[in-house]
Amino acid sequence: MDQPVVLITGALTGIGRAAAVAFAKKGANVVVTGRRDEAGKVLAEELRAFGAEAEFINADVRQDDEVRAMVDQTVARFGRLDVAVNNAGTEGTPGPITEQNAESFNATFDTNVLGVVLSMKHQVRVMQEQGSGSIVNISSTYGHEGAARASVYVGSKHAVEGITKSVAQRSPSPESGSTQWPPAPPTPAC
Amino acid sequence: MTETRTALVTGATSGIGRAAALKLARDGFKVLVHGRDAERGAAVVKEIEAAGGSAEFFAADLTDVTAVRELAAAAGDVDLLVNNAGFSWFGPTADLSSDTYDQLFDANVRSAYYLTAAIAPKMAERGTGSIVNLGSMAGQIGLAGGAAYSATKAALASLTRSWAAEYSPRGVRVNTIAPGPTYSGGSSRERLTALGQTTLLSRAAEAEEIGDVIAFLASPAAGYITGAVIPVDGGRTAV
Repeated sequence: MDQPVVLITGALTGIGRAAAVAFAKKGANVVVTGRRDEAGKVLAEELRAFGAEAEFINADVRQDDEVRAMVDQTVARFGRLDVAVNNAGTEGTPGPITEQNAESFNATFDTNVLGVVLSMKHQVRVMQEQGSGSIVNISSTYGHEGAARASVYVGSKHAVEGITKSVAQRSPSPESGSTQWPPAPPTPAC
Repeated sequence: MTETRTALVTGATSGIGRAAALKLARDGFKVLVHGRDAERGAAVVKEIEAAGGSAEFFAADLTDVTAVRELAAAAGDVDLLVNNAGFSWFGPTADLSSDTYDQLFDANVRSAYYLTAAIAPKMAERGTGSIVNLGSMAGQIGLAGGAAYSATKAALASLTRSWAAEYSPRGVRVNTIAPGPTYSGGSSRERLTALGQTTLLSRAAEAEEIGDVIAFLASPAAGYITGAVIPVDGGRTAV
């Protein structure tokens, strides 16, 4: 492997876009995803101008099939997946709890939480097969503190941090003969 | 037009401090290598110079607060302070002598406190600077036999937040790294390997893997990071 293969969701604006540019400047092979074809193609062109190999894939992180295709197309194009930046997210509808409803909740959690779950599901599948990989989920200071008028968004980012810690734990391996769940307690002294 | 930046790294003659000194020198810092042993100090300076870098050795016993202040004065204007010097003691709480207890807090906490007290205000006056403290995952979790050592490291995490609140509005970033088990010469390799098995990556760290993060926190790429306690522990404290 010469250059790492990097997949960035929600890469058309803001932090995702800045990450894509930073990776491209370092010469990585970059796949950017989003839901606007025109902007995606323009961004991929821009990244290629830095000398990077870059592709845009249209994918909605709330759809399992689209996320599977996004990851599989990345591997088909570049042969592997080394780094995934799960950045796609939404602020939702800020406002007091009395104004929230199932629609505002689902709109926020579908992108911020389900999107991360589905993304990691397919990324981990590939990375486990490779035996290596790195996933960076974009949380927020609101992932570990509260904020007035942002309860739904705050809840979604707390979920991202919990999911991240959980996926980082070793999964029990059927072949190992000994379960690693829960992880062994620390030795008494170091 | 790039001005040479100066880094003072305490406890830089071995382990994590040495790894940080070598990396910072490669990144263009002039490194003030602090230690107690002139011979080991000279070896690190020589290694840095052989790689094309610039370094100078300063001897001081940081458990002596007068020596801490003298070191700060001798160092002059520094752009980066790495409070790394310290030592660990593990054993039953009832077995720790009050002398060793005092030495632990003097070396691990008081030295960082008074170096920062001497250096951070000057950074704030210039409107720029960075301080990196060496905490430990032991400051976040319970380790049987590590009560006093862990308390010194938790103190550094707390100092970091307070110093960020005090100095960051005037341009000084202050952060702590909390390493996991690291092959740094402080504990036996066997013990570190065993503790490494309790991390999510199932291994201990090499000193360079901590030094690299210190250098990152000192770099412009970390320009928005202050008041943070950054775990570099193979995931040990995440779960």
